[in-house]
Amino acid sequence: MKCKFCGSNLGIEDEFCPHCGKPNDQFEGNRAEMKEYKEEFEKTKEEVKESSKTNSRIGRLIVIGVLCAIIFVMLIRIHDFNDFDTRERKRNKKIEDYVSEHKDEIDATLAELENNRDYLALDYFVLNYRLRSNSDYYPEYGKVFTASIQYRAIHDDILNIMDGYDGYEGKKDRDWCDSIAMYITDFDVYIQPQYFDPESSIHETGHAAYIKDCRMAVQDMVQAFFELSNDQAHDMWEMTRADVCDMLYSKCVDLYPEEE
Amino acid sequence: MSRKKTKADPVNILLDLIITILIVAMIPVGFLYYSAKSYAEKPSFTQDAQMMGFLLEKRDYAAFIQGRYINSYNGDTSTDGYNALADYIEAAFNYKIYDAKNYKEKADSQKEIMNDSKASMGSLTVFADKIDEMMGIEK
Repeated sequence: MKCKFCGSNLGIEDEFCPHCGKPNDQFEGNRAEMKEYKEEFEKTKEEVKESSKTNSRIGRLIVIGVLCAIIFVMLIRIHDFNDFDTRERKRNKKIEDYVSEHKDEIDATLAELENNRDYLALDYFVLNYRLRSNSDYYPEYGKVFTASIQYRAIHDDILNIMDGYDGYEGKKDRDWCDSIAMYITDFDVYIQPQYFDPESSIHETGHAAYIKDCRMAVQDMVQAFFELSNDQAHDMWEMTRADVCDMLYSKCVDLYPEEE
Repeated sequence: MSRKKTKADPVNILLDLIITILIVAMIPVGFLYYSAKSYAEKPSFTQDAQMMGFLLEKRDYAAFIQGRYINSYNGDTSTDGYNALADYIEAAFNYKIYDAKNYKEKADSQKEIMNDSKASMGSLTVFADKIDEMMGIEK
């Protein structure tokens, strides 16, 4: 913009020409326009400020929401992880899927352990892969699994007597002897009838030989650790639980005196 | 040119405070989450070295042997020294039976396992000696 009197350059806010001192007749109009611009600028600035404030609040609220959601999900998951039933259900499902996918491999290991008469290893293998609960897969192994459990339980009870372990329940040698007696008398109750039944399909699978050997291994184990005579070891299968317990405990007192 | 310092929005200050609290809260929650997760994903009945040591100290040899088997079925080799001792205990137990029953070949085979296990159990051999004593096995 130029001064209409001297042609000098005028600033937009100059009321008078700085060179000739004549009034700038566009000043009022410029001032009103500037005021309008300024007001508009301030308004826009306020709007931007407000919008930015709102956006930053929304941003923070989103962050809070996401953090709360993460914490909430983690707490729910922690609850699930710590819940025994949920945890076991998931573990069982995982194991079941594994057994289903690796059935050939598991069958081969099971057969090998059975052939080797590895009673302990077989029982822990069954425990690890929950094979007893997968009875759909292993119905013919039922008695084999039960015989192995009996063997392992008696094995563990004898170890508990020898090492003086109290099972966290203050168990005494008499309690362990009673437990052994229970497994000995249960052996025939739960396993033998089918083994002795000549019509049973168990004879066709070779499992009968395993069960017979397992029973003999139990007899040898009890005889060796309680120093039973051959007759005592042989007759223990026909005795009552209380009589077996008394016989074992009477040996136990001298062989493995309890610590006071 | 000096810039006019704008006054902080009190709502934002409050929100920032909440965010800080939530981030701080995430640390213990995260820790609990991962420890619960790793426990839940751990196969049942496996025992870590610390637990194997505890079982040994409690003389719970039955659970000790169980830990050895379950660990090996799950490919856990972190307790190898303890595993060798567990093998020793099991073999000594079997040796005692076969020796008493005069099953010589079987007894020799268990003796061999005992010797092999003893060679790989490191400083735990002191426990093997205790097992011999407990089982009444002569050296």
